[in-house]
Amino acid sequence: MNWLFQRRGLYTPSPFAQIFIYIILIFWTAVVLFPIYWVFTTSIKLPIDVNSGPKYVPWVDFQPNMHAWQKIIIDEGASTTFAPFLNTVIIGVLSAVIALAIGAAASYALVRFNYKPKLGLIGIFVGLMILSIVAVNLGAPIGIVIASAIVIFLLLVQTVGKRFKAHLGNEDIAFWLISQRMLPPVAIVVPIFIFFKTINLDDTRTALIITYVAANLPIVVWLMRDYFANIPIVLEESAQIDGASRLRTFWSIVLPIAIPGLVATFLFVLVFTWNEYLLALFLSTSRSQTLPILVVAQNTTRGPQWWNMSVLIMLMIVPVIGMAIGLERFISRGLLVGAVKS
Amino acid sequence: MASGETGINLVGEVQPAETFGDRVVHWLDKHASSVFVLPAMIIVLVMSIFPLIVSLYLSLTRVKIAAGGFDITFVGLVNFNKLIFGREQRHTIGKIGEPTTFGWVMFALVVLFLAWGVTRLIRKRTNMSFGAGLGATGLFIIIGLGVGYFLFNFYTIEGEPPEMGFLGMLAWGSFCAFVVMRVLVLIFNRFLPPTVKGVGPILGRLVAVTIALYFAWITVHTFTTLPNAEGNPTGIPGTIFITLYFVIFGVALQYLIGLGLALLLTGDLFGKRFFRITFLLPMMITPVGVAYMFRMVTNTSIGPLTPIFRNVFGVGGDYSWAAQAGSARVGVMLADVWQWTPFIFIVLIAALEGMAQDQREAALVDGATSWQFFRYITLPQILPVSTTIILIRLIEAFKIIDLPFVMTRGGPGTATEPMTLHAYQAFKASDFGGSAAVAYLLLFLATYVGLNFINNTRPLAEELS
Repeated sequence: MNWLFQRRGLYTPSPFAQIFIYIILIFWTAVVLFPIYWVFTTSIKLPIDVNSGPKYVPWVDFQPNMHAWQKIIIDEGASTTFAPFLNTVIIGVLSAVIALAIGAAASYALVRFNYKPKLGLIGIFVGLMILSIVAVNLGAPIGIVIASAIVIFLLLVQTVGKRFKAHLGNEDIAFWLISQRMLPPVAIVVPIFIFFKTINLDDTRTALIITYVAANLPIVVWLMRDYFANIPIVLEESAQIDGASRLRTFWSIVLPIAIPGLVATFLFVLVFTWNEYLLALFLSTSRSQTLPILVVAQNTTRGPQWWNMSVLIMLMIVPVIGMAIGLERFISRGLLVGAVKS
Repeated sequence: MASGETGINLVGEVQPAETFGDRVVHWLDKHASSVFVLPAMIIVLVMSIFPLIVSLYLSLTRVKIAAGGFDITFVGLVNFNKLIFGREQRHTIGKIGEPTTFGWVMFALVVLFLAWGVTRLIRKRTNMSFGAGLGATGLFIIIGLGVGYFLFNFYTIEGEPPEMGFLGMLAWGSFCAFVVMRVLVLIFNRFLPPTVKGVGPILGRLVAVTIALYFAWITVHTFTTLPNAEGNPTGIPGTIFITLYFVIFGVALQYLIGLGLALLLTGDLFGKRFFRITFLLPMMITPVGVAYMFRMVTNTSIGPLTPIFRNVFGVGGDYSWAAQAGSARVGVMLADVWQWTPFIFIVLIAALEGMAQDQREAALVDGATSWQFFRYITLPQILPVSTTIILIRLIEAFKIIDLPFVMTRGGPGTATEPMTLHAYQAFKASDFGGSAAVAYLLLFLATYVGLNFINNTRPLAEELS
């Protein structure tokens, strides 16, 4: 009997332990997959099958029926479903692309250049920002305030700026960019809402795209910085010796090598935007509604219509599950690299 | 810029004048270092830092929607006063009730734990004499109580002294005193004698301990309370403590389950990749979808678990877990655990796979038991990653809104309403100042808990490994 409890090899547990492990793993697989299965079956049930108690297996317990899919996609598609779907796709893709372009450039620069922003100048900048907010509140016209703040800042940079000695380094800038991820969005969303309302951009895709670019930038910097740091510098040096400019090196040497990382980060950011609820809740009311908002809005006065909701949830999660399967390797690497180094 | 001129190269040939596009490229290239990093910085400044400052300002104002814009009046700390000591106190902090025996036992355990922590801390700081430690503690209690007494007696909100009790006085008083002292130390650091400099960290820990005591006291007086004549609990927890409930219990469960799964999946197993991808899925699903999924699956009359609810728990039909405060909180927390366990799982499994192999092999050859193997080989190697990943999850967990919003609408009453939802409801009621104040309280709380977590677990992790 001893063989039952004997380790089979360095990385192979004993048969008894293996059975035990499989029981737990299969249990958790059921915990993960069953809710998804239940949503799928609910989406192909008739209302009476949903309301008359649990029916588990299609064709055995109930006859599958596509009425909810037909209602959501064909009957109501043009009027309610497609617009939020399109909004989510446009907002997601555009904000991911912009965030990736800006974030990749910044993270590359933070790996390859040396920055020494002076503490004093940062202090002056923040001070001027606070002063201008106060001035605007005291009734000064916003244009004049911004213009004079910029002029004063440039003047101070040219005059007293050279005298400051204390400065920050690349790590500080990177930490500062990444730490924005830690900020609770609710702490900044009210001013953003007021800001967009003031410039008549509230409830537009543009507003959401700009906001999501800002929200996703930290993740892009976090993931891409480690990716760029692992690209050997030799390639860039030889390109520069051959006379390639900095931009040229970045564009034709570094970016092609970094494509796998860029794709992974792009998908990662896309998933975040696809699922995001809080910012969309504050910033979109009707025209720029995204899918999560539409799903929540399904809770009608007649009680939740589970079958319709299930169809919408399936529409939301199928693309993401596809991405998860493709992304699995990247995600574990990306998350770990950040976690280990910080 | 020199790039604009017609150039003569080394051989002496006259080069054609550059086009406008060339000039732009040249200029960009010359300032490459700024061009690369400035867009990101400007976006973060405009969309995060600027709103953050405005938000702080808004939290000190009353905002009214006026014709064609907003009418903003500065009102000082009124919004915060209202939330912590005033009209909204029951919403934010909770309604104090009479604790049960279980509550008192939990409180005693927390006190014992904190006392153990303080003794350890003072014993470890051997460079500080016993007298200095005692003096610092005494000074701390005197100043804390003094400021607290001042707050309690001379500081009124809407004509009434704030309601806070002895521990509250000590906690709020010492916190205010600590902030003032910290600023003074920052300014006058170079003039301080060396013996006094060591007092700073001790004072910081004492404030943290007092605040933890205060929070524990409020928790047992709001979560675990005796029922009144109608059978309803007398205490009602406020949004701060509901947020902490989700954060602490949720993240603890996520870590334990994630670690367990990761440990099970490190060996050579058939179907490893399948399990890994499956376990990853919940993290990718939109939280709104997860919330509805949970409502469907845990429905007690038409959900798939109806037989279990009926036969094991003896409930069904009209019963709904979402109608009871306790079960509603557990339900929301479990949905959060379902969704975010993968995050911890996937990082831990990558860390376990990246472990140094030689130690493992040596330990196995030497015949280490499974527990010894875990305690002395695995644990030390994953502790640093664990503290980081728990910190990330802690900070993310403070932002929870989607799940309670969809699952229970924050109800029954405010039983599942976290601070983000509180802020949203203030926003919906057009109380922008109040909303910003709640958001800033959340920011303070998250930062404070995060910092304390890091300060206290990093040394512990180093000690264990």
